[in-house]
Amino acid sequence: MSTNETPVDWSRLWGAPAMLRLRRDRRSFFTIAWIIFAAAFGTLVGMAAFAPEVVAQRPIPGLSVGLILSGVYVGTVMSLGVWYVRRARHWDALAAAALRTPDTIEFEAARNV
Amino acid sequence: MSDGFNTTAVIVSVLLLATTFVATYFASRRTRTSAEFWTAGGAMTGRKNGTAIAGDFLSSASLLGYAGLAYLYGMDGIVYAIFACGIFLMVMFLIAEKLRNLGRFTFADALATRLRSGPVRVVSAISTLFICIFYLLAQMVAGGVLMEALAGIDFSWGVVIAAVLMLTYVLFGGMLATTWLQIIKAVALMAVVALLVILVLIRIDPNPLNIVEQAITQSTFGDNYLATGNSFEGSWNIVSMAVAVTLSAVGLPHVLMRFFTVPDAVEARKSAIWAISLIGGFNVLIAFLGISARAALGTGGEEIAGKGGNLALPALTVWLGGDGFTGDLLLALVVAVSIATLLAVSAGLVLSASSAVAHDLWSQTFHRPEREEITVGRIAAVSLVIITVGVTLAIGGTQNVTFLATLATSTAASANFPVLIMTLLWRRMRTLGAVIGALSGLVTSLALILTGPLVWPSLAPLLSDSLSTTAPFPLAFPILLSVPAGFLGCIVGSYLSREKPDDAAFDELQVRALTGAGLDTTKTLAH
Repeated sequence: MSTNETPVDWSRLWGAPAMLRLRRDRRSFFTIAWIIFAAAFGTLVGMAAFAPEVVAQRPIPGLSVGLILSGVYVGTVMSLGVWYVRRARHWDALAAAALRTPDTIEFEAARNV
Repeated sequence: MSDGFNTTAVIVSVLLLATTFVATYFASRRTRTSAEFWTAGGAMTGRKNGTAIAGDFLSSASLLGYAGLAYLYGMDGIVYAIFACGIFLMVMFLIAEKLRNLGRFTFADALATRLRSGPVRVVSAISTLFICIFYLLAQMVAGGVLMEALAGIDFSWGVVIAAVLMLTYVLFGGMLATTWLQIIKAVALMAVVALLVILVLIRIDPNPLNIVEQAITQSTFGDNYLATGNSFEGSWNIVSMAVAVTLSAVGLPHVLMRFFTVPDAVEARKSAIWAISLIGGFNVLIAFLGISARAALGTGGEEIAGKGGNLALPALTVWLGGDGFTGDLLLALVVAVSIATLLAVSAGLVLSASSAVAHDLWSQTFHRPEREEITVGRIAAVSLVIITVGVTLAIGGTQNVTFLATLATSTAASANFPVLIMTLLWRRMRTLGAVIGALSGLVTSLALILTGPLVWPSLAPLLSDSLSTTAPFPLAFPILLSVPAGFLGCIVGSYLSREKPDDAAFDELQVRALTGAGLDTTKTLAH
């Protein structure tokens, strides 16, 4: 469903240097973020599913390995969320730069009139 | 828990609901256009929307179910709640921003950006209706049981009252009223849970670790109370549960729809981070309350808590408040919040299902005027609720609520999630791939649930006396197979399709998804 207001060369825009910078930055973030998430998720699932006796061990009274892993998982999720929001501010600037081309400015103007 | 009509619970519930009706009245005065009806004009702030998302997702099953599981099975219940903390990280990483940048009222709008509108809207509407009806059934059954057990209202009347109240929000206030209902409910829910935690620390022990130790000594599992496997049979059931819970929101239409109520991707991100924080905080506290219930009630409380442990939290509340007015008031607060919770979740579901009928089918597929959308949506909402109430009364309160909710979330993750992801990321994706992907995910998840341990033991004797009651499919959650089936359907369908490749449309989708180009930037935030 291409927009009809003003023709925009989306393919050119997709390959433009500013867009490439945005794509590269996002890719580098998500590669690291997914690895961290997979490690936290995999550890908790793996221990819970395949080592229940280890999960039940209590290094400190009232605090089991499972509870520690659960805390680490929640902390990881929250930290990744905050990291994403902070990093995305940089992407907003890159996206704005990527869209600052004559045909997209015309396109946006046509849409918002 | 209640043998008769609980006056305090009813009064507190009426007061809480009255607050939400005031919000509905003001919302109805600000709801005129289809955009205002379906997405609150796309003018909610990220913080409000994030709170509403948390309200949408924290259902009665979260409030009563997680606490009950932790009370009964210890670590099994805790990991269930803990995996749910990661749900909206998945939504944020995979789809939130992109969906906001591409869609308008429903997630099918985003699919139609590059695929043929008619087929993808029809198949999305089918899966949305399927998912919403099953989720709605779970809420209605839970509502009837809850009102009967806690307020002394007859199951049938409880279901009808819940349906009428929920319809009022949808018919008069649309998304704005539903959003405010979610916000009020989420705040009340968090406040009640925080209050209970404080009371637990005062009444049982100020050190949470001592409470865990007390829970271990009070459990029949002993030291194994903090081991996994007390309720899950086999390692792969735990793995499938973890994946099912983590992916449970990525395909739920009423949750996806919430991202269209904010004006841009920045607010969509804020929504997601608020949802992650609130849901994470809630789940940790509710799991702790489940453990505390074990410490306080011991094995003697298992009869009161019920077979599924759903009434462990109300039982803890009564224990904390003691006999007399304080106990009654605390229980009334839990009842009121629980009822508001199921109404809020149900209203979101009805709104999402009616948007699929009115927007995706009526307006976009049958090309009827957009001004008719609100009327058609209201008719669809009433019809849907009548059908759901009828089915709920027919199946009664004995139906396993977890099964119905599992059916809904597993179906959503299997039917909608692969199609959304492949449409957003795979250049080779075609319309036929979306149709086959959605249908294969839907059918596989349904088939595996029917042949799984939750349903098969009661289904087999109905089919034939010679059938074994041992489930052919060993896992309670079908997601480890049904999600790959959805992805496979997308790939096979796309390779079989004769549709010509449209690289420009894919590039347009990619640019718009990442940058928000073409998004209506004239909206102003409703602070």
